[in-house]
Amino acid sequence: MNTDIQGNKPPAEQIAQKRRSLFPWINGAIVAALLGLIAYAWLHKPVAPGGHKYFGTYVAKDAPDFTLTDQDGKPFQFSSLRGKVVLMTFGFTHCPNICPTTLGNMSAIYRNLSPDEQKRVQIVFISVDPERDTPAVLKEYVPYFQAGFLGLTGTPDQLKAVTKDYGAFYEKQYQASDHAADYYTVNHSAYIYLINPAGKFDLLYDNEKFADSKSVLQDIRHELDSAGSK
Amino acid sequence: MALTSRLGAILFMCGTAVLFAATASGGDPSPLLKVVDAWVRAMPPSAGNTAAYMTLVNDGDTPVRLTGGNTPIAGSVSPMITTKKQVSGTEVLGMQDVDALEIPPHGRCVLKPGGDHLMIIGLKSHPKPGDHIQLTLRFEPGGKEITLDVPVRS
Repeated sequence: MNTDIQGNKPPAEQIAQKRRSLFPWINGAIVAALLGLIAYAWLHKPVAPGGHKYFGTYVAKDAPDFTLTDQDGKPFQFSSLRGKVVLMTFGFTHCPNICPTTLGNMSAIYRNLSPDEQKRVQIVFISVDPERDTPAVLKEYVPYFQAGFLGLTGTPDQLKAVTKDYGAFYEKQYQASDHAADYYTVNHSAYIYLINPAGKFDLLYDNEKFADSKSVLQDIRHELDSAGSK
Repeated sequence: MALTSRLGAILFMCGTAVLFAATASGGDPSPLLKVVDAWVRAMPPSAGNTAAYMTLVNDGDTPVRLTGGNTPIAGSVSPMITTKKQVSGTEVLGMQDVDALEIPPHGRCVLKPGGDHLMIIGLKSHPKPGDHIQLTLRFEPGGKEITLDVPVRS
């Protein structure tokens, strides 16, 4: 069945054999590429003074300032948080999954800080759903996860500017089944930004990385310590 | 750039769960489908929606589809997948309602925070951590229903 009269193998097996002979080369190339990547990552892992290896992705640029509206309906200037470590994220309160997970992780991190450290850390949640997330809605939502967390919102133009400055993204997505025709969710980038007490946007986490609260906590403590020793 | 969503996904093969072998269950005449570690997230009073998470284990020889369900505390219950796409170098997360989440034969489907989930839409009440809510899940084929008493956690 597998071999015809001339002893030729059917095409499928020829191909299979060819593939097999290529495998060692492909595997070798993959291993080499991986080793290269690991070496690159290791060499470029930013090491902060004092030997702390950042867990978050090291960005180290000036954090753009902005003014939005806080959960009490008052203007809030971001640079007024100088002197604190700020953990900031973008989301929306109708979000049932990603945002509460991130805020829950932020809360877990915050609760692991000492009262003195907590005074020097501010969590900021910026809504990218200005239509539904009024300051009143934010006031009920954001501090629920932890007293002291700050909710901000703004006009569509303000939010467009802030998200652009921080490389964040959001767009409405209408959902089809079972809902009112105008029911939408918001697709959004789910990064967490760490801004240090000097106003430097220092570190960036994606939401999966951020779930490792122990490692994030070490980054925060390092930022607090290096600010304190200046 | 296109991604997993917007394909009008009628059916979504749950995660990469196919890799998983079914758990052994002593030889009891246990049901072919099991729901393990189900919980619902407590949400602030202003929130309109929440999510239910669980692991669905299919010990049978044929795929089972979770098509939705209902609960007295909300208007509707809908299977959702989490989508990811790149927009000029930025990873953007979203969700997409699907007609069903599939639990492969001798496999499992894990619904977890940040991933695929059952979205509980239009909350009429806001249960607190420690409360339990009634949640009925609907499966195909056969339109079978399982009703669970699910704990609420933060």
